[in-house]
Amino acid sequence: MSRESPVARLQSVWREFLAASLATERLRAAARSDSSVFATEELGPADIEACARNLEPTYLVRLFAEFEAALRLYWRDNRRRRTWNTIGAEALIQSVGAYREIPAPVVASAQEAREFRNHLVHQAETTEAAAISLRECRSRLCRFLSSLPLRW
Amino acid sequence: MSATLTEPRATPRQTKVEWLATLDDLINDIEQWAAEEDWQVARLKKKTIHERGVGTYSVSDLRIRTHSGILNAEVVARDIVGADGRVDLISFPTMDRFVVVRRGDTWIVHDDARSRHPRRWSKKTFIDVAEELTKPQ
Repeated sequence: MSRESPVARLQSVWREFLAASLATERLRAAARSDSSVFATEELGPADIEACARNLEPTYLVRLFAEFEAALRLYWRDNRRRRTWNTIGAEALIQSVGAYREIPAPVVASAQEAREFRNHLVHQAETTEAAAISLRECRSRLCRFLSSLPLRW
Repeated sequence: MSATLTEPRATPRQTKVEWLATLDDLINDIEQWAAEEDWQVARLKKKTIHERGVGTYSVSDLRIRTHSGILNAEVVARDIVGADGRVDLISFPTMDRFVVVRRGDTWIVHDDARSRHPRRWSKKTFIDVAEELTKPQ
């Protein structure tokens, strides 16, 4: 596996988000003047509003999932750890950070992204986490991934 | 009654002074050893690094031109998880990398994949690593 591959997947999720944002905005604009744009009775303006509101959090969860999957593959294939599919995300980030001797702020900022992702997924169970934009999240996670070996 | 004595934690200023002195030694090693091999070394434009617990400082990365290629020595940070500082040796254009990490008072060199035993920082290690990084593919 090469380091470029997970980074490319994160970039691909980002581009999908941009495409989805554009499509959602276009649909919102069209719906303002023509409610018949909703091809089915199941959909209405409120659904589009909810979609627009939840788009960034949805893609942030996906982005983090790609990041976590890359770390698990690294933990399995390079470190040959049997814990690759049981270790928690927090410990995984910390362990890879320690093994790869990654700058502490880079590790801390990936952990903040994880906390925010947890907050989005399990809102009722977690304490407040600092909000991070998708763009910022992508930047933080790509920075962490850049410390992985070029090939493994 | 016994008292527990603990080392007082270094202030950010002390940490910065000590880190910059350590980096200076490492950079001087590289410049001297490269010159002895008749390799060209240039200090690149200074970059500013800000680290919590260290503060803000400016350092120059090095560009080293061996007889077979080019590599950079790039200061990464003092505040490293599991170490006390890190400088990367990166070849161009392959971007292959060796990592020079400081543990206590010792610099250790890893290959990027950590597939071989780490080596202590020395002239021989530096020359071997630089030649490996710049050998024709």
